[in-house]
Amino acid sequence: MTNPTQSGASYTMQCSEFEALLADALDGVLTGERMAQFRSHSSACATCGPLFAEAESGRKWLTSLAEIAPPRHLVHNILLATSGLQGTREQAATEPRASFWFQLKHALNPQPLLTLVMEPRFGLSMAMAFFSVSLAMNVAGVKISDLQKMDLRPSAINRTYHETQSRVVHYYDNIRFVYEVESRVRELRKTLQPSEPAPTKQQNDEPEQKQQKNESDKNSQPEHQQNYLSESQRDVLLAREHSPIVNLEVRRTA
Amino acid sequence: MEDAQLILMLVRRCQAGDAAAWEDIVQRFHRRIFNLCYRFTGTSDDAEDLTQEVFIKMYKTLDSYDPAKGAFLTWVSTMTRNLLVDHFRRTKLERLSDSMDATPEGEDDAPRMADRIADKGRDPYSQAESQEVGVAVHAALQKLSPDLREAVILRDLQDLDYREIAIVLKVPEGTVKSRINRGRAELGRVLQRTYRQVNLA
Repeated sequence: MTNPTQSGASYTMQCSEFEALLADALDGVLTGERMAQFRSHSSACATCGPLFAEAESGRKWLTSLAEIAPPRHLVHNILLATSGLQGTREQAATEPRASFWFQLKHALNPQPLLTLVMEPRFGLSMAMAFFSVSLAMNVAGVKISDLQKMDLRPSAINRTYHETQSRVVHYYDNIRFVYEVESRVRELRKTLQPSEPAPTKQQNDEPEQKQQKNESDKNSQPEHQQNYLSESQRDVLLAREHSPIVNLEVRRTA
Repeated sequence: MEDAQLILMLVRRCQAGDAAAWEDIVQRFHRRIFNLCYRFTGTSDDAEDLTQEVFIKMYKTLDSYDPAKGAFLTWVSTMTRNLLVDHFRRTKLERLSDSMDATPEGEDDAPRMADRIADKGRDPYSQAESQEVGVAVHAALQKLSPDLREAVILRDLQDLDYREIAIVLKVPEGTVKSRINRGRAELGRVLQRTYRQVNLA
């Protein structure tokens, strides 16, 4: 400033440098000789002088701006917006602390359906069902080994069904035959009832009666006469086959 | 320094899943982030939405914060600035249509601002006046280009140093200083013109 040539030289040099130092000068960082040079250039230079004034006023305006109070609900909204994320973060933090049983179950059953089935109530229901089925099978006399031997092909099942059905039909027919025979026998017994002194004995002799029935038809003799022959008469009867005269005698005695 | 350590401790607790620590972080930083957003976007609604966006992003990426790479405040400011730039690009079309509507007055904003100040702020010493000055400065700030605006906001309103601003804006320190100078000067020019008009009126 005192030396015009030095001042002129610094003028041409310092215009770019002035701008570089402007921020520091306004911040109050620039001191001493450097600040003096800066001021001298500022007062001498037609471009840098106004720039400095404008920048200084601009800075003052800006620093005069008061901080704005944010809306009251802002913090609440922010926490609300991040609370969902917070939940996942907390869950992630607490997950390793889960019980051993839970971890084991989680490791064994990654599928949600299996996890549902693995619930204690379903487990108990299934156990009860198994026990009742096994108990019913035991009572019915069905063995697992028999079931294993069973052929489960559709054709085999069909054949088994028909075999069983025919067996049932045969059984029913046989039963019917037996009942028929029994009813016949009962009828016979009724017809024989009046001349029967000892019914108990007659029951024991029934099979013999049936066999002798046909024979008696052949001989054209009444059954009751044949059944109640004495020992002596029976001998005579045997002898009759060989001699027709004897046969006549027998008739006469009867 | 102690404050920085306290914040670092809070961040560590929050990374470990402490909800109370997260709330503390929100309480400490929401005002600052809201003001940064408000001064850049110009409207309270946008600032509110963006602040919320910043915190959601912060919460999601908190685990990726590395103290060795820089202060937490710088990290938060960078994140906010990036979201502001995204928002600026997103709303570019809206602003273009707005400026087309405002073409008659858009060429010279001084009369409109001067009218507003002259009508409402009659007493220069009143509280209303200082509020109106605040409105005028805020309006003038919106006239700056985004590059200059973000630089002066970070320096004069957020009190970050040049090195930190250089990290946030991802430009050299020299460029940061140049932008701040130009931003301050332009703002001074606009406001000087405004108040000259007011005085003439």
